[in-house]
Amino acid sequence: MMSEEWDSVFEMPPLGVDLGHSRKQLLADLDLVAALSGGTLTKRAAAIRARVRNSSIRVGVIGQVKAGKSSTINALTRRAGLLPSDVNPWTTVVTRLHFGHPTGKSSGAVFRFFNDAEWDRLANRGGRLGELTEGLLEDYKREKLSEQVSAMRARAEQRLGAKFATLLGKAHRFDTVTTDLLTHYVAAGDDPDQDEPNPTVGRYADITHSAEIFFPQTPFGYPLTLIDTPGVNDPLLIREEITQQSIENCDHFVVVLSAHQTLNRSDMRLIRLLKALNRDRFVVFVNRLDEIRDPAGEFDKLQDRLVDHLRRELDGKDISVVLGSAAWANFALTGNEDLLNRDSLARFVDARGLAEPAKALDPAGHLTDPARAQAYLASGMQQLMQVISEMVMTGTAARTLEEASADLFSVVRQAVERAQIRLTLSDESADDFKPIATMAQISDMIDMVDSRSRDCRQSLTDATTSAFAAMLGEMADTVERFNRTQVDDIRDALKRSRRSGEVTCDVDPLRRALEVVIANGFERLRTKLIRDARMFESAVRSQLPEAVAQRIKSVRFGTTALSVRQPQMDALSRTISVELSLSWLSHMFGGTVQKVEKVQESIWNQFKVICTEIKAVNQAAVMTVTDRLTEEFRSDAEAQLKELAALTATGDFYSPEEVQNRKALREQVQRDLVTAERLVVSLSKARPQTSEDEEAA
Amino acid sequence: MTISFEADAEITALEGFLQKSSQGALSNLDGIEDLRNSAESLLKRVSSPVRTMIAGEFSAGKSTLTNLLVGERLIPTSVLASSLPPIVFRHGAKVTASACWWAGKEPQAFEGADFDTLMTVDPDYIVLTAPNPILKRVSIFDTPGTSDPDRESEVLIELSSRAEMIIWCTNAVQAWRESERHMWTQLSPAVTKNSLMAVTHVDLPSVRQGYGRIMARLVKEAGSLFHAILPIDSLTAIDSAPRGVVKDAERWTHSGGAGLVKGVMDLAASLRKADVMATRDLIASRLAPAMEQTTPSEKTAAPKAAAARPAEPVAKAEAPAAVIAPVPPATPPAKPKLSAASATEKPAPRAAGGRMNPLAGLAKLKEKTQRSAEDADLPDDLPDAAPTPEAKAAVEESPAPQVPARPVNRPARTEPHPLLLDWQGKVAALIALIKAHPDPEESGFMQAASDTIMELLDAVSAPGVLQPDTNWLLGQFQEALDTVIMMQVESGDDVLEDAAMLLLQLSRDLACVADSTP
Repeated sequence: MMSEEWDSVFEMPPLGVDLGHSRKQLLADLDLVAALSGGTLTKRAAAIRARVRNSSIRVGVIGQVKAGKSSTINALTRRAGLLPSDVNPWTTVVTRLHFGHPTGKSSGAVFRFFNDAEWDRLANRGGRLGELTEGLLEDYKREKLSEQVSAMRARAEQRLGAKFATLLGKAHRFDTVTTDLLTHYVAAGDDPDQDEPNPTVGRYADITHSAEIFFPQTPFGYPLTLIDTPGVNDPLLIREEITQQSIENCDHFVVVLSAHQTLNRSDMRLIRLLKALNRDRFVVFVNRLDEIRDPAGEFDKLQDRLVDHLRRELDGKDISVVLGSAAWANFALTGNEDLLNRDSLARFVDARGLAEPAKALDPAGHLTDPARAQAYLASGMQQLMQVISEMVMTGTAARTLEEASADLFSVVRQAVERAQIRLTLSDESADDFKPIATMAQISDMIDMVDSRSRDCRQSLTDATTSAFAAMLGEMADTVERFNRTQVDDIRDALKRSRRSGEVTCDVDPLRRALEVVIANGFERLRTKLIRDARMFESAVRSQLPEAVAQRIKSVRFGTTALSVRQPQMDALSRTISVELSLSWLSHMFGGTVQKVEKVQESIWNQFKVICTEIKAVNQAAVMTVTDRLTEEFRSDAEAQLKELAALTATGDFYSPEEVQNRKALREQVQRDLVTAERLVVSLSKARPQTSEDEEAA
Repeated sequence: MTISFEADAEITALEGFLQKSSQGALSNLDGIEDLRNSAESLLKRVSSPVRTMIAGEFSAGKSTLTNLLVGERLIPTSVLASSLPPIVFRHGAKVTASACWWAGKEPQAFEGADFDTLMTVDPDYIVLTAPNPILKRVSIFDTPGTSDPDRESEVLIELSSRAEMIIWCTNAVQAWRESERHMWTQLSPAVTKNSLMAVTHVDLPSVRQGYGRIMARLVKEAGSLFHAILPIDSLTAIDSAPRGVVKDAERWTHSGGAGLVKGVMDLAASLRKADVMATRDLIASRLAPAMEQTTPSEKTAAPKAAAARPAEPVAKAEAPAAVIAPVPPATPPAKPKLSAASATEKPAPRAAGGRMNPLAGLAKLKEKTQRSAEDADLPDDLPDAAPTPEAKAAVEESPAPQVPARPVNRPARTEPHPLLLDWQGKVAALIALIKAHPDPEESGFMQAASDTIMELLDAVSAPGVLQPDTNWLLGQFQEALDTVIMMQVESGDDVLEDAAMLLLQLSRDLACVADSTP
């Protein structure tokens, strides 16, 4: 699968390399912090470390069936032929390719099978919401979906016999992966309904729910998970269902279109779905350029038209569009000419002036066929990778690193202070060595911090609860307002429906309005929480004797986690079902007024569920953060106060052995101080200046 | 190798009869005029092109397939959804193009089909003619330029409501996706039952690799929806049979061109089956005996009475054709077999895909509106039927009248013809509908308008209703129907007005014919 020549010839912009450097630096710094002597900071560092280590970039590859998603992944990962593709896809498996998994796994695969609950969820379109949207989904689709799920299940039972029952909910694990193995689980083979199916190909495909395949992190600069989805707009509706369900778990997307037909209704629906998910950090890859009649002639027109169309659809936002061909890339990587039209490639290379750059790509002439280097440049893979790299710079992974870096900054500043306290402690001859407070006083202070923290936690929780209650009310008003203004539109749509047999109700404006409500409400809450936390912090500080407060200046209420958090609005995407079809309305008995009421009621019901869910999800998330931050402040303060207690209670705190080793200890602490100070300098250089820093300074 | 049509033999026989009976012994036979009328009317029906709609999602290969059926690369093709207006293809001696507008503007004719030039005048729709014999049997409606995916289905649904058959194009690379199935279910069932699926782009390497399995899947998933599923490499097919003349039989067959054209022709012929059966009947029972009778070497002449039995117009309540083409009183009103056949197996109401240019229809519309606005002899109820004030204003603003080429006899007025009365009643009802609802539902009105035209078309195209000198009326109605159908695709502010004017014009045409009838 992997050939030697590639690394030298087919250079790729390493994805996420800058983030990768930051991550590596953070992990190294965390190692240093962990090596600092003593106590709770190590624990804090370990928590940050876990977050950094588990961070990865999740890129979903989505698009219509047969747009060439798997081939594009093969080309991007330089693993030509890894993911099987077929003229008649019929798998429903979501395949995740992990490059640099947090567990350290770098080879092998796990195939997870459906369990009963997942099967039901699939057939019923997500249970409760499925019921609420009754009638909103084309009847055909509703019936067809459960019919297909049952058929799939029956087929699996027939194929697997007695084994079937024992496999449900289980997983198969392998240490090595081959394309052959993948065909058993994830894809491609003859439709089992056809004559003489190959018994091993696709043997488990009907019951495989997901496939996890592990690789080393190279050739990527950051741990990356590429997610291959089954594809939308296929008569096998399960595929669409699974794709939609898997979309919520991705940070970025590559939307693969076919150059044959770009941005048809199905593509537009997918893009509207991404927009609804606020996942508008995506790149459009127009594949199959090799198959159209005049790729060179159409190139610019196609690109301009797409960029223009997307800009209009996404309210002026520019989306990168890359045109290319996974088939060209795969020819470049393997030299396999099965799917190649050489003339078309040559004309394209000529028209785009790629011959010279291709020579530069392979100056040593590793490739005997110069067309391969040309095909590589023509394939668009380099540009695609470049765009993805730029995209991830502002994604979830970047936010995770930013937050971790802020946390670490706070931790090392405490480390500096702590080292200073200890140095003072270990140097009895020092001038400033005088008791600050008694042991009992320190103990009281710890109690004070404790009780204040409890109050703070409660007040932050209350603020959050009331803010979300207000937000929910505002959302309900928005839905109601929309419904009122929609009466005319819905009536018009119904009128048109007699003409076209279908009604679609555009709830996009409502979705956008709700997004604004949520975003604004969230922003207000964020500001309030940060302000409250600051007030709480200074209240605590003012309760401490000046000398003590001076000693624990580094103990801060961290707010980065609050500032980087974005509201979660994925549930809004489910409203897409209103847009699917309201064809049932045309069969409904009753006048237009009743029909309009029915549509309004459906919209109301659906959005009520969605708004409630958004409220619950975000409220819980915010509370988790405020709880964690309050607890971190409390424990940081406690730890530092205890250090001070040691300073106060000279002789008591350190054991006789420690006193004896004071010299050694002092040297150790001095080294810690140097390390921590150096870290403070390097971290403050690396981070953007935030208000928190300014305040601290 | 030629492309054959199932009814070719019958058409040839009818043409032969008409030619032979125009002079010589046959022309002197008793009742030959009636027989000739029957033959002519049937010929018209059997050979009227089947209105065929090329459908599919954008960039599915519709325009390339249309080019194949036309026999040359007339419409520009691109993977980008183009911005071309609807195009109608008709048979013609050479390639011509006309830029047409729904109303208010003279169509503009061009030699050849240069779309760059055509588009500079921004037409509402385009009529192309080409010399391909296939077009004698099918007229083709293509909608290449629906770049807005939401509008796309609307246009197809509208057009499908009046097409007679449909060819659905699907790209083999991503064949028969859910969105296609969905759109298919929304098309008129009357037309989807007469359909073929053309699987395009089968020449691509990625398709060739799994060709058999793609086709197997299509048969399984869509086989029950189509008469046939036909693979086609359109470009190769066009090159191997330019202008419908097969130059390279092997490539023609291999590309799928032969199979596709045969499929189209067979389906088209099956839609004319009722007429073909009637023709066979007429030939066997009447024409052949008549010809035998006049051939001296033949043994026994058929009984004179039987041979001379006139073609009786189909008796219909709404079409008392006798006043327009009065049956000679001497002839007994015995029901001939032809009428029986027509009555029991009446073809679906249709306007034969006119061989005439809707361009002419629109041009005449303007002339004649002007003329009739000045005409004091109009039936009394017509002014009532005048559409909206705006339409009337439009009538008055029309340019100076151009003298119609058609000579119109206007003898002294008699009682209005029942057919005319019926028509006028319907038109008045339609116009009243517009008046009653300030914001009428456009599609409903257009639907009603085209239904009304079809009904009348059916009535007047019954054998014997029209005479050679009034035959032009049929063309008028066919053109009007084409125009109304095209209008349905276009939604504009003026569509209702235009349609109303068109209906009024038809009233005048009909009145003209009724008046001219002795």
